[in-house]
Amino acid sequence: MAGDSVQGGEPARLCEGDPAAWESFYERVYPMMLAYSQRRLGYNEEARDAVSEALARTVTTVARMADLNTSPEAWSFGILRNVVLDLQRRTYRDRQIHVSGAIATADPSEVLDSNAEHENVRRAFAQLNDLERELLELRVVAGLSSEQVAAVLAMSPGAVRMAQARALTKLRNLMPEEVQP
Amino acid sequence: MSEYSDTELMAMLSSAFSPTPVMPDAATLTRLHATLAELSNAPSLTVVNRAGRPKRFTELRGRMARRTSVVAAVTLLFTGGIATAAVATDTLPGPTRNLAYDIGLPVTSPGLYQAQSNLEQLKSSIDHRNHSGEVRWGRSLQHDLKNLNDGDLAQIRVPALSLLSEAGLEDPLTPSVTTSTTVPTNNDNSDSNGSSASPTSTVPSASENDSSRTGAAGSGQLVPTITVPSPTDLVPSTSTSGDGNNESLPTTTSVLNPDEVTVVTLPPLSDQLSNGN
Repeated sequence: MAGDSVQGGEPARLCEGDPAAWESFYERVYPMMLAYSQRRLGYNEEARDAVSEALARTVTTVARMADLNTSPEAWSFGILRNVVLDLQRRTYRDRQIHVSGAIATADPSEVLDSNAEHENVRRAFAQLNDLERELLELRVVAGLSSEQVAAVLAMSPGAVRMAQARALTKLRNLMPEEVQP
Repeated sequence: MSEYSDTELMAMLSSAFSPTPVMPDAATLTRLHATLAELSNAPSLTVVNRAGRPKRFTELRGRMARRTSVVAAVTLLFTGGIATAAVATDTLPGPTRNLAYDIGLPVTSPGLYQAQSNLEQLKSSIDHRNHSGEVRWGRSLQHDLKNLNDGDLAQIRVPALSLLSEAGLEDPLTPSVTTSTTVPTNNDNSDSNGSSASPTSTVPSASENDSSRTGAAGSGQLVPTITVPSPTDLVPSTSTSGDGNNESLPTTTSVLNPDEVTVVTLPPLSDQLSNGN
């Protein structure tokens, strides 16, 4: 889990502006943030710009992150979520998650991952509502804890856990039986 | 409905949506270092300022320039305020008033200002029944009035003439005309003493009489008057012959003016006496 890697004084080094710590943090969170951004903004330069903007804002606001006693991952994902929402409002873009479209337009590695199980999971995932998709994505793709997701979504950790349980139950019901192991 | 557990579903999701391992692009890393450099510079500047570093010459010069500008502005406002107040209240001293009037500032002209001052003095003298003061300030006012231009004169003419009249002084602005009344007498009429009974007499005008009374006759300024002969002027002079005979009295002509000649012809005294009988 990504949140585990911040142990060992990384937040303190980030607050001190250590370039090496920031580069390490970037390399770790960048793929997850880019995936999160691409599923909402599409596989284009706009998604990459959103990640770059979110990381830059993370650097300038890291002191506030320390005051709020949250992790750098949760802080940066919270910023990325706001950046994405701003872009979507600015371009009147539908917030539909590009889950199904990702198969067709994703980079080659994702296109090649075409086994039936992943396909069924993606189709079921696409039928969840926005909050359920975002919550599961932050928990699974970004690897944030319930507390970190709660910080990103401005919810209580208990509400995150209950919403996660309902989302997984719904996802389970949407999964076809024939693909069960 | 599937029978996946939550853990299995989470694993499937993680596998299905696992992000592609990509490295941050060059632009993102460049922006990271630029942001870090910007942040590293900002606190150091603050520390330097708090350390009380000696001020640079440019800073001192700028501060001195600002102070000089402030002092100059205050001085300008102060002097300008004094000048404005002096002009507004019309209390400029003589030379300054002359200069201000010459350059066109809205101040009272020196001549009018002098006339107004004398007017006040004359009024004060009249109020205090100071006769010598009335004469003194009245003559000064008369002199001032004669030297004023039309615009200034219009401002002070009415009160000045009123006070001059109250002080018994002449109006210096109106030239007087002296009209004499000459009453010729019959040269033949002489009393028994051989003296002329009524030689040619000149009747001074009323204004001259007033001027002589107040002692201002020497001003040479006379008010134009219309001379009206008094009834006594028209009474013919009588002469009595030495022998006492009642002879017809000569006709007496009273000449006031070459243009206005009044001839009064009286009947002989014998006729009058006979009619009276």
